Amino acid sequence: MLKIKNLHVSTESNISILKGLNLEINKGEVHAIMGPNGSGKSTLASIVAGDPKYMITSGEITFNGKSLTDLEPEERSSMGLFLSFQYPVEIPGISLNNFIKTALNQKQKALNEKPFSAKEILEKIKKNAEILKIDLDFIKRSVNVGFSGGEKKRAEIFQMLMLQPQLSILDETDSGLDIDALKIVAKGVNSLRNNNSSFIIITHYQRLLDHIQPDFVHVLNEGKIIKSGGSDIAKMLEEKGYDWI
Amino acid sequence: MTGYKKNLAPQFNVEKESSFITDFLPSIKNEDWNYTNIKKFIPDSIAVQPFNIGTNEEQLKKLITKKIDKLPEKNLVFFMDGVFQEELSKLPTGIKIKKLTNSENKQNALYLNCLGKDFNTINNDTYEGFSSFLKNTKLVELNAHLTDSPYMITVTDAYNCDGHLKIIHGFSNQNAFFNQNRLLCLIEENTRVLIYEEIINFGKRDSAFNMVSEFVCLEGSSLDFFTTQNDLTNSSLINSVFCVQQKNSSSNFHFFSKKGKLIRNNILVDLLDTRSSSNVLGTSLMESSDHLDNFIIISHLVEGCKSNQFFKSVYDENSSGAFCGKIYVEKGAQQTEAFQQNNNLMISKSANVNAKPQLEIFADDVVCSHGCTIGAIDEDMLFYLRSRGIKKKEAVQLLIGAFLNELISNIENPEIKKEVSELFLNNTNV
Repeated sequence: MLKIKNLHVSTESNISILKGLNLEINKGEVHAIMGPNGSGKSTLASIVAGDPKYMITSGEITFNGKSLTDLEPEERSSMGLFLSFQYPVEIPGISLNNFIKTALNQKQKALNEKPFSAKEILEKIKKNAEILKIDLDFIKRSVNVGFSGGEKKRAEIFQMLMLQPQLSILDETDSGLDIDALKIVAKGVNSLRNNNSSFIIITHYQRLLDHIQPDFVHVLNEGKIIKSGGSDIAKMLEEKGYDWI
Repeated sequence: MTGYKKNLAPQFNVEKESSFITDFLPSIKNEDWNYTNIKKFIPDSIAVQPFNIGTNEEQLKKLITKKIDKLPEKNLVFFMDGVFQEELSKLPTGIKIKKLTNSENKQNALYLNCLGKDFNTINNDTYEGFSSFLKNTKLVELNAHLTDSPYMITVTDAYNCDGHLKIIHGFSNQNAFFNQNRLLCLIEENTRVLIYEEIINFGKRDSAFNMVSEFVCLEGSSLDFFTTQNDLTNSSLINSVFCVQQKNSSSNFHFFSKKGKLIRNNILVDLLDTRSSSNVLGTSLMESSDHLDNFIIISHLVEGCKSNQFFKSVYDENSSGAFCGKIYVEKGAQQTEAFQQNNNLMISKSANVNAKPQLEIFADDVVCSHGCTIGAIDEDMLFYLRSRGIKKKEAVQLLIGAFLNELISNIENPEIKKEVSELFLNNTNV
C-alpha cells in the first residue's frame, strides 16, 4: 500500500531531517513508530500528507503504486490518506459539522461519486460520535477552537472515522490524553481496523499500544529507521529507554 | 451654551459654475483623505444630476422590473432620484415622511440642530461637533448646496415592527451623473427601529453618489441601521452618516461593502448624553480594482457611554482600502468604555490596505482599546483543510467565509442575515 524508498527530506530552510528512510506498509497492517524527540517522526507524517513546508530532496513515496511526490494534499486525501495532527490547528468561524460535510462531499466529488445526502451524513455523524462518546453539540463548535487537548485529539479521530481512510497516520494522538480518553480513542481506531485499512501510529509510549496491538514497531533515529520488529520492542523501550538500542 | 452646536457650517453662497465641483473635492494632502484620491474617481467633467428630474411612473416601473425581481410587500420607503415615491412605498404605522419646508431648510450642512429639540448642553466650548470634519470634507456642503430641502423620516412611538424598514435609494442616471442625496431621520423617545438601506443605480455605469444621512436618536431610543453597498455598475459612492444620541439611546450600524469602484464611508457619532451607546460595524469583501475607505469618528462627550468599532475586510485581486477609526473622549467623559478593532485579510499579493487607528482621550478614568491586524491566509489552517480533501480554492473560500462570518453570524434579523450571507458567503457553508 505505502512504499517509502530511501527518502530524504529537508525543511524550507534546507535543514535535512529524513536521511534515507525505508518503510513498507501493506493492507491491514498496523505499524508503530517510536523514537526520541527530533528524530523525524512528525516530519515523516507531514511529508506523506503533503505539507508544503517540507521538500523531498531524494527518494520516493508511492501509495497504491502511485507516486505521491507531485500530488496536492487534497489529492492524497481523496486517495485514502489521513493524518491525525499532533497539534490540530484552531479554525474560528468554521463549525466541525460543516467542515466534515464539506470534506466528505469534496472527496465524493473527487472520486466521481454522488454526494451524500444530509440525512446520510447525519447518520454517519451520529454513529461515529457515539463510538467516541462525543456530544452532538460539540460538533457544532468551531473546529478545535477552545477544545481541550483531549477534545482536539478526539475530534481528529472523529474526522478519521467519518472519512474512512485506507491509511491513517496518527501523530502522537495519545499525547495529552487521560486514561479514559485513551481507551475511547483506541476504540475508535480499532473500529476502523480491518483487512483493507492500515495505520501508522507515532507514539512515545507503550500504553497506547496496549490498546491497539501493532503488527510492527520501528525505531526512528536521526532520520532513519534503525530497528524494526514486533511489539516486544516497544516494551523493551519502555523499560530501558533508547540507549538500549 | 444650550442646544447642540449652532451654525455647524456657513451659509452657502456659491454660484453654480460648471467647474465648481472640484473645489469641494478634498485632496490627499487633507489628513482625512490620505488614502483616497477622490479626484481619481470623480472626474472634473462629471455632470450633476438635476434635482426633481421627475421620472414618470411608467418609466419608473420599467426601470425597477429590469433590476429588481420583487419589491418588499410591506415596510418600504422608496426614493427615486431623491424624490419620495408614495405609490411604490409601503409605509407602516408610525413612520412619517415629510419634506422640510424652505423655512425649515436653513441650508445648514447639517439639520441636526434645527429640529427644535433641546439637546443636552455641552459644556466645553472648544468641542465643535462635526464641524471640524466638515471643514475638511466639503462634500457635505456640496451635497446641501446641490439638493433640494431634504425629507425627514420620523419614527414615532406608534411604530411597532418586528421586522425591518427597508429604504431604497434608486437613481435613474440617464447619463453618468454625480448624484446627491440627503435624508434626515428622527427616532423618537423610547422607540425602536431597524432600517435596512440599499442604494440602487438603475442607469448608466460610472456614476457617482454623494449621500448624506443624519440620525437623531432621542432619549431611550434604539436604532439599527444596516446598509449594503454592492454597486455592480462601476460607480463611486461617498456615504456620510451622522448620528447624535441622547440619554440611554443606542445605535448599531453595520456596513456591508462588496462592490463599487469607490466606497468611502464617513461615519460620525456623537454620544451627547450619559448611558448612550454606539456600535459601528463593517464587513467587506473587495475585488477587482475596487477601493474601500472606512472613516469613523465616535465622540464620547459625557460620562458613562459605550462604543465599539469593529471592521473586518477581505481584499482580493487589485483591490485596495483604508481604515481610519478614531475614538474621541472629551474631558470629563469619565467611565467611558470604547473599543476599536480592524482586521484585514489579504488574499492577493497586489491588494493593499492602510490602517490608522486613533485614540484622542482627555479623561483619565476610561477603558479604551484598539487593535489592527493585516495578514494573509494562515498556511497551517489551509494545509489542515486541504489534508481533509478540500481543494485549495474551496479551502481559501471557506477561510474567507469564516473570517467574515464573525460579524454576520451575530445579525439577529433572519431576513437580513440570509441576504447578507448570500452576498458574502455564497455557498461556502461555514
